[in-house]
Amino acid sequence: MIRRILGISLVTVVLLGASPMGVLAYNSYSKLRTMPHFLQDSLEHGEVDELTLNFLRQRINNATKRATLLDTVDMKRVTSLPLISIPQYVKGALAGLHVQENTGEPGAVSNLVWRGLTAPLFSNKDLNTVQPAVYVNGIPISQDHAFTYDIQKYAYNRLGPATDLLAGIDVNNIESIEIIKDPVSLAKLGPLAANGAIWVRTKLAKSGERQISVNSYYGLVQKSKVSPMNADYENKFRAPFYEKFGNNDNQLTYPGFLADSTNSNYYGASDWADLYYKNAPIYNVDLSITGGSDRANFRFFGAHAKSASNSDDAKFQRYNASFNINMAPFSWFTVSTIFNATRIDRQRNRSLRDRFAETGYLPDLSTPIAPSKNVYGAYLNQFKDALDDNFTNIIQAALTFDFKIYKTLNFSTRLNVDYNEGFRDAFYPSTLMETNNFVSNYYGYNQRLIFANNLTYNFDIDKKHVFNFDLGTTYQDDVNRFSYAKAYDGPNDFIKINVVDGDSSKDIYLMPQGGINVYRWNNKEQLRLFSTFAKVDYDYDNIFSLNAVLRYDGSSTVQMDNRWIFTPAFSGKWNLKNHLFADQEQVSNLTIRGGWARIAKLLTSSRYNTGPQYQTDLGWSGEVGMPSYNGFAAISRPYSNGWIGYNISWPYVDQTDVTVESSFFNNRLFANVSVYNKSANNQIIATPIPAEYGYTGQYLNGLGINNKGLEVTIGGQIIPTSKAFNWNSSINFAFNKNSLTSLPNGLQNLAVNDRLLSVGHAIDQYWIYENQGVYTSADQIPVDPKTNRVLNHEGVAFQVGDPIWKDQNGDFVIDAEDRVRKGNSMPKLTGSWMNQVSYKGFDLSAQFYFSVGQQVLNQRAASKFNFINNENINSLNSIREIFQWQQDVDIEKYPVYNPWSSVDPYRVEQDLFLEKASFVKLRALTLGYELSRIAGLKQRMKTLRRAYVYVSGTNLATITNFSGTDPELIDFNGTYSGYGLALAPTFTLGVKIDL
Amino acid sequence: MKTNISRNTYAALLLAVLTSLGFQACNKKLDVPSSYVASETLQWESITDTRSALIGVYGLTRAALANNNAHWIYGEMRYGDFVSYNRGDLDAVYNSDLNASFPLIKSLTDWRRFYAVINAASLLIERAPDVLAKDKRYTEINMKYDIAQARTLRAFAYFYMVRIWGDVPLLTKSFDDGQFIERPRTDQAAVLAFAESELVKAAQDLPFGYAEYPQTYYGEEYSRWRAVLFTKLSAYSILAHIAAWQGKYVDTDVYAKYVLDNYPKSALVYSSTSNLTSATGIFSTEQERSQLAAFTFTYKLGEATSSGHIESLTLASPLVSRKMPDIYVPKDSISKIFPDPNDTRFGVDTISGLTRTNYFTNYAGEIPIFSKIKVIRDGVSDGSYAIFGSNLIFTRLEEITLLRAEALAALGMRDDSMRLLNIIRANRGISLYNQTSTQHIIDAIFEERRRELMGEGWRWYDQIRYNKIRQEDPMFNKLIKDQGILWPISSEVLKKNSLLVQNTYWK
Repeated sequence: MIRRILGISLVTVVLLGASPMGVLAYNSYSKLRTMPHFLQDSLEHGEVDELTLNFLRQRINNATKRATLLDTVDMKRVTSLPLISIPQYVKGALAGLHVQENTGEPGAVSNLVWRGLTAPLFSNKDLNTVQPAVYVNGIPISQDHAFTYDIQKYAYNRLGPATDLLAGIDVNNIESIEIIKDPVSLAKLGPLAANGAIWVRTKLAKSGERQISVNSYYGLVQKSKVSPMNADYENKFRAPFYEKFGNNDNQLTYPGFLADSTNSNYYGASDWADLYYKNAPIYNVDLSITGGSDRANFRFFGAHAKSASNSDDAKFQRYNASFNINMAPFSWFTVSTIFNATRIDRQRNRSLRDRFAETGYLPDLSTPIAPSKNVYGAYLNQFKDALDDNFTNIIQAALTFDFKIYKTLNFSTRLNVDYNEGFRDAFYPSTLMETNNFVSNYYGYNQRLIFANNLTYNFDIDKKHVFNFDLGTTYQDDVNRFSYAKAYDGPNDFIKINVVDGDSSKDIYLMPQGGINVYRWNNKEQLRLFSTFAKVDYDYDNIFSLNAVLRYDGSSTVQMDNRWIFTPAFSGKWNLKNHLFADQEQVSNLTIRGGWARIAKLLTSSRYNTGPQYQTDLGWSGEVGMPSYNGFAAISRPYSNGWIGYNISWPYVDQTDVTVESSFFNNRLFANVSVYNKSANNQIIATPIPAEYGYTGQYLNGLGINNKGLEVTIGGQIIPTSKAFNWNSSINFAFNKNSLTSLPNGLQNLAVNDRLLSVGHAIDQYWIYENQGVYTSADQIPVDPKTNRVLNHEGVAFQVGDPIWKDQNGDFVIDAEDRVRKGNSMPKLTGSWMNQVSYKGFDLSAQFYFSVGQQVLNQRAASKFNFINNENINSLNSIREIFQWQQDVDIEKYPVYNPWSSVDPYRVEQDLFLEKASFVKLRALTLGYELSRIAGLKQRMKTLRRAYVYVSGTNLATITNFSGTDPELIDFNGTYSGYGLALAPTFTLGVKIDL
Repeated sequence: MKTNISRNTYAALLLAVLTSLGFQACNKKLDVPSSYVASETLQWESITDTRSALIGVYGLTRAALANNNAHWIYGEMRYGDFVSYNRGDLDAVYNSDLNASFPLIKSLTDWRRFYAVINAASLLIERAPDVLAKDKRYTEINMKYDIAQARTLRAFAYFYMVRIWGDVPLLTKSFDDGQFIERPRTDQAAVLAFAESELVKAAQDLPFGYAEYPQTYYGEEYSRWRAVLFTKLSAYSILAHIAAWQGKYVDTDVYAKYVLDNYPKSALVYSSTSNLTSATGIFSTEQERSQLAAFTFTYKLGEATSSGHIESLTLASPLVSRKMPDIYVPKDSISKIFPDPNDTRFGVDTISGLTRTNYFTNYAGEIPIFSKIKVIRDGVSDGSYAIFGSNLIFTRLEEITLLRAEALAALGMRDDSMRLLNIIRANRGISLYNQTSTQHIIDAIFEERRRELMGEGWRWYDQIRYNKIRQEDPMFNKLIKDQGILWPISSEVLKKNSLLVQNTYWK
């Protein structure tokens, strides 16, 4: 049986196209079978002595070092869950690391925030500025650059495949994931780690007997149960509005699809959900082989995973191949290579919003798709002619040379490459686009090259006083590039690509055929970073230690005069256990660490180093990417973007961290507590200037944001492992509070979009009107006694049927001055509670995940009630998706206002739509059994080290007061649009075999 | 020990590599010029820079007028002939409810885009001489044309703003130093006086047409620039309007006369009704021979757009796939505005009941579609992909003819005025205005403007000038007296400059 599974996986690997590796893996496998004693025989005792041998082993098995021992993800728990991306692996597992997964669409981008926001999040464009860096085997993973948003009318998704580049690593290939908290360790990583660092090590080659591991699971994402509705429900929902406030004209423009109750498509059965929600199969299979001699070892890993959403047929497929070889040609010289290759193929959701946001061209949206299965099925059929291919290829490679110059002097040099490219080819046939088809092609890549050198010197004065010195330089070269073309109204629906003339001798070389207009954009951004640092560690008798990092960073994105920044970092550690409690048995460990670091925060746009600049700025609100006037390129000051002057300097983050690590009673109980204070200062933000110079604003340094917080992890063996039955439990939680400490030019307040930044207040607060009911009679509406003017909203007098918004400053005008900061989009407390119970070969683990104190602006509810404005203006807000034919808004909760009123009564910026979104979720539950415990199995299969079968369930239960579908499906800035695909319950059956 | 030697050699080699990456070398490596914005040092070096900058000023003006269909919403919606089908924001503009908090109105009350035009124009005027000094290909005459166009566009932007906001801060330089000092509003008379003096200066320098054979302008020939750039007559047309706006009809007459005396020099002709209403007529890039000042959105050059055109507000089924238009002229208004059955733009034959519907489509239906302007792409009839390539015509020969007629009538020169009015009336097939006509000639002229210029963004300003002359409508008299004819200034703009005060009517 086992042999068969193995055989199948090997064949799969070979078929994947990574054939050289597959063949290699297969060869190694057969070699192992034919020469079982090869390894033992190969030890060349005659050549090197035992000491050197151990030394060698140690050296070649230690390609990337772990940064810390604490703050790691329990990989055993995570590997039995059907998760595909690093944000999912770390969710809830590390105190202080908050993961926002705003859709169940597999492979979509998530937001990671460590120890609070270091910059305000106004839209998806700003995500990169708050994310911690993710290092895989020491290679910082590059992210998609936000520059595509410059040509996008709508910023719901980034242009291109929009695949999360952190979804490229298979969980079974990961040895450990940890969060680096220590300021000095972060400082050593430099500007990329200013927002924190997640340190991922993949499993690496090991010398010794060849080991084979095979993991596989199969599962089903469960279909969501919803309460569908038809036009009758909608008609009844609208009736009170028309009864109370509608006049004859309003009746005349009543939407046709609601007016005709004999239309069975709208008024008949609402069974669209049968086609929209489906049980979706998912699976994973992977194989790894490890082995080698003392001079050289290797590891191969191959995997294929499929993930899916239960909604809208969204799917994700991934192929991984990973290879690692370590060699020690001489005892003083080792070479290590790591190579990861990933391909991701993603089938995205088919919402109208996402489609029209890309096409940027709105057809008539007055009639929604009918909720009937037949109509929706016919609509889905049209997708057979559509094309929506999203591919991402990712390669990471590291080559490390390590030289032991003397016993205490070591030199290493590393070349790291991270390259990823994304393709997206979209074609929508004319049947989907109102007789006007659409084609677009995107190609973009991010390339990162890092060349790093380190010289380390170990100097022991005596056994008690130990010094370590580390000198390093890093040169990093990032290139981000994309090209994008789109065209409308091609000749027919059969040609789904942009056909050009390929004859370079002709005048029409590369001109599109068929008389269609093709719009093209491309952009390139290049960043270079050069860093040098010195690190000194001093340790006194394992009791006290002091560390310091001094570094000097220069970036091409900072102007010449301010290009180089010097940043120091210090930390100290006091091991109380070794010092004071050495003899006390009950104290196993007690350490206090404290540190402070300043780390420069990387600027990623070459706009800043350019200073006063010129660019093409011909667009307007409907047409952001307008390239020319009369066919000529145009150049002007960046009026729409804002002025950038001289003297732009490095932003930086100062952080202080004090951590107590303790464990007691022979490590049965442990508790770790950290407090931190993190200030991100001198950051750049657009500030207002008089409009009479034509600019939207000017970019200045001076934004300061402080985050304070407390993180606690407590755990222990409630019933110890020595018993047949044992129970381990741990809980982690993190409090965080942010506040704005400064704005440029001493400003106290700055309104940006729909947010108000105020010094001394949190940056994630909403800025909204306070709703106090509805005006039911004219005499309720206040009148200014001085002017006899009726209370008005920016000049529009309130009338009966309008909401009562609190006039905060009592000036009888409701305007921006009357909006208050209320609610936070970021949770105050996050964490998770983990339990593991085992009995004989069985084990059961459960993860509860919680997030408390955040609020949500319910945009979905606002737009449902705002049907008059939304439907009358043909915009993206007028779109009614098929999945909105369900009772997803608690309509009893909201009062009936006059929807025709000019004060826009159902605007989302009021506390009527603000609601609490705290939740506790039973995120995962796993039950497993170790088969190798079955008597006789081990005897038959001598090489069997482990054979574990398990069933697991994820997203099993949610406790929340939130009125929408799921309190997690919230946009990154806190609005709930209802667009997130369900994080549906998923059940899997899996097996893990180690041979 | 053998290994030790080679070990040291390797180490020394690598250390040498390490140290060779000195800071000087690094600093050079770190100078990476941006590939999507140009630095200060790269601009104002060569003739292509001035061309790009000049084109930039035109493009920014186009953006200011096209943003949210501003030109038509300013010009057609307030108490206009067009009414909104069901858009609350357009209803609010129609009813002059301009403090309403619709995003559209917020955007239309913000003058930033006009000041971007002014800043870019000032910058070109100041920096073009740098290029003259550096690039031999850039000639005096080329610079003269460029600066004159920049002056014209800047004056145009000021004039456009004064019509909407009244007093506006007057900035006559670019102040391109990153300072951004707050400046108060300047009296509109002073702003218009500046605009007038600038235009007079520019008009002397501007040609009747660019790149007339055998010359070229920026290496391009006549056909490429035709009806794209502002000419001497554009400047005079704007001058005529600035004067008319202030009621200085003597000046209007002088400036407009210059245009009417010289229009053949710019190869302009009066348009026939079919040229006016054809999809390949004067609003398209095919036939543009009556335009005096216009902005292009040429489909073939990839500049056709879905917004920024009257069509995006007015067209609907059966011309494009949208069911209902945003705005339309109600049927009873149409029959009132076009009383003459012989009017080739629109007329109902009283005997046969047949309609001449060059201006409208689907007149028989409940909601007639205003289809005078309907340049779908480059003028095709297939409305499946509704982007529009129509020019934004600020003024054309017919408009200036009627403006001069207005000026002459206001000055009491009825016969001359009548002659001009009748040029248009004859072209449109309607009965001529004669000595015995009982209608007030001013009324006749403005009614003709209403018909001829429908959908071109004039109606609102015409109503103001008309009511300033006739003063018969008490509501309008009050509106003019209280400065209610102005628009409010956006709260965004007010917040950014503490020296600004809101227009009193909108306080």
